[in-house]
Amino acid sequence: MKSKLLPTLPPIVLGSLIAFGPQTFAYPCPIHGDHPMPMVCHWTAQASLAVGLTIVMFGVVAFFVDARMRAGLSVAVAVNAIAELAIVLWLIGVCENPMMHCTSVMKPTLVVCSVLTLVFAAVAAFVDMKKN
Amino acid sequence: MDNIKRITLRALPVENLKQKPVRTTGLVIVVAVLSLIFFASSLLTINLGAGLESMQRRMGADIMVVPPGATAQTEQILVNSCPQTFYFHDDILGDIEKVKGVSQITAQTFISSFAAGCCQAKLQIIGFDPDTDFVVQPWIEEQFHERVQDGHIIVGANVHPSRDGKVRLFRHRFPVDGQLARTGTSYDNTVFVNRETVRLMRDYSAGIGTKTIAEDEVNSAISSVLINVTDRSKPEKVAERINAIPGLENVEFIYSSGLSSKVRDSMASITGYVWVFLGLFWITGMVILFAVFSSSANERKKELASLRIMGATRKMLISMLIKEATLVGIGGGLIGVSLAALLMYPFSNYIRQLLKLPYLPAGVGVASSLALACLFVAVIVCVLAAGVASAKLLGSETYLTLREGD
Repeated sequence: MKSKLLPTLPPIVLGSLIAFGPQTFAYPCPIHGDHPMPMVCHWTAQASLAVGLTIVMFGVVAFFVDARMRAGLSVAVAVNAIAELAIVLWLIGVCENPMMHCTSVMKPTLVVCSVLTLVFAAVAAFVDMKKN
Repeated sequence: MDNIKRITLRALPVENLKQKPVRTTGLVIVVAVLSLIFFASSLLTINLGAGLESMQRRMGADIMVVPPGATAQTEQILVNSCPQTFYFHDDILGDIEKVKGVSQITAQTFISSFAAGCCQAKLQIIGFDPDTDFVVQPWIEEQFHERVQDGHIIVGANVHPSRDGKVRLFRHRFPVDGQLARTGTSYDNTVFVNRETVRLMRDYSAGIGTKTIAEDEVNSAISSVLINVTDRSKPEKVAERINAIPGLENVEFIYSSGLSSKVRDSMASITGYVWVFLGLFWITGMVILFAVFSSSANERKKELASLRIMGATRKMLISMLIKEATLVGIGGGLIGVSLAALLMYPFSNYIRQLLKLPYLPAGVGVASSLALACLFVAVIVCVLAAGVASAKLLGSETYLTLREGD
C-alpha cells in the first residue's frame, strides 16, 4: 500500500489541479459580450483539461497494477507533464501582458504543477524500476 | 560470500538512512518546510527592498506639484499601477520657475488608456518634455542614447509590442522606439511619450469618442510639475514659497522622501509580520528537529552500543550521526529551496499585484547566495540537533545501555 502512494497520489492531486485549476481559480481571459473571440490562454486551458485528466487516469490505474506496470505508467505521467509544460510555455502559451490573470496565475500554476508532476513521476518510476 | 554487501563505517550513515525510510522522510520533510519558509520570506523581503530602491531611483525629483486633491491619485500612479488623469494649466510653470530655491523644473501630462482588448490592461501614459525633463529622459538615454520621436512611444517592461513592433492605443498603432528594463514599480506598466505625441493621442482618443484632454487645453494641460531644489534649499521651504503665489494656494506637494517613507512603512508592516511568522515557525521547527533526533537516537541506543562493542569509538559514532544529519540537512534544504524558488519566481507578478507595492524579483546571483545561506543554516541546525542528542546518549556506559531492559 505504502509503495503505491508515490506513483498514485501525486498524479491524482496534481493532475486534478492541471485539469481543473484553469476551469476554476486559475482561469484564462474570459469570453464575454465585448470580447467574443477566445484568447490564446483559453485554448491552453482546454488542452490542460485533457492532459490533466490523462495524468489523473494514469494515477488511478497505477493503484491496481504491479510494480513493472506502475513504472511504465509513471514514465507516461512524466511525458504528459513535459507535454503540459510545452503547451503552456511554447506550443500554445498565454497572453503576453504580465498583469493579466492568465499570465500571473494560470501560467505559474500550470508550470509549478507540471514540474512537480514530472519530479514525482521520475522518482516513482526510478523506485518501481529498482524493485524489478 | 561475494554476494554479501560489505558495509564500511564510511557507508554506514547512508545505509542507516535507507534502512529507516519513514524516519528519514519525516526528517527531510521538516527540514524542507523550514528551508522553504526561510528562503521564501527572505526573498520576499529582499524583493520588496529592491522595489523600494528602484522606486526611489525612478521618482527622481525632490518635489512633485499636483492639482488640489490629486495627491492620493498621484501616489497610486507611482506605487500601485492605477492609471489616473487630472490636469492644471501650464502657465503655473513660469511662476514656479521664479521661486527661490528651484533648481530644475519640468512638467508631465498623464493620460489613461482604455482597455483595448480582453488581454490589454489599462495603461498609464506619461507625456514629458525632452528639452526640460530630468526624470524620464536620463533613464531613457541610459538604455537608448536617443530621444523618443514624435508619434513614437517608449514602453515599460510589462507592455509588450506586437510582432510589428507597435502597440495599439486609442485604436491607433504606435511604433515602439524601445522597451525599458524592469523596475518593479508602476513604470513597468507605463508608456512614455513626448508632448507632441500627447496631442496626437488626444486626437486619436477624441476620434473614437474617449474623453482625455479638452481640445482647447491640449497644448496647455499638465498633470504635475516636477522640481529639483538647489543644494541649500529645503523642499518644504520651497513648497511654502510656491503656496504663497496667488492662485497656487491650494496646489498639493508630494516629496520623494515622504513617499518613500510611506511605502517603507507599508513594507515594514508586511516584513514585520513575515519575520514574526518566520521566527515562530523556526522555533517550532527546531523544537521538532531536536525532539525527532533525540527520540531516534534514543531508539537506536542498542544499535550504537553494539557498534561501540564492535570497536567503534565515541568519536566515530558522533561523526556517523553528524554525517546522517548533514545528509538530511542537504536533502531537505535542497528540496525546500527548490520548492520556494519554484513558487516565488513564476508567481512574482501575482505577488506584486497582491501586495500593491514596488516589488522587483532578485537576480540569479542574489537568489543563489540566499539559497546557499539557507542550505548552510539547514545543515547547521540538523548537525546541532543531532550533536546534542548523540552527545547525551553516548555519555552513558555502553554495557549498561546494551543490557538496559533485560
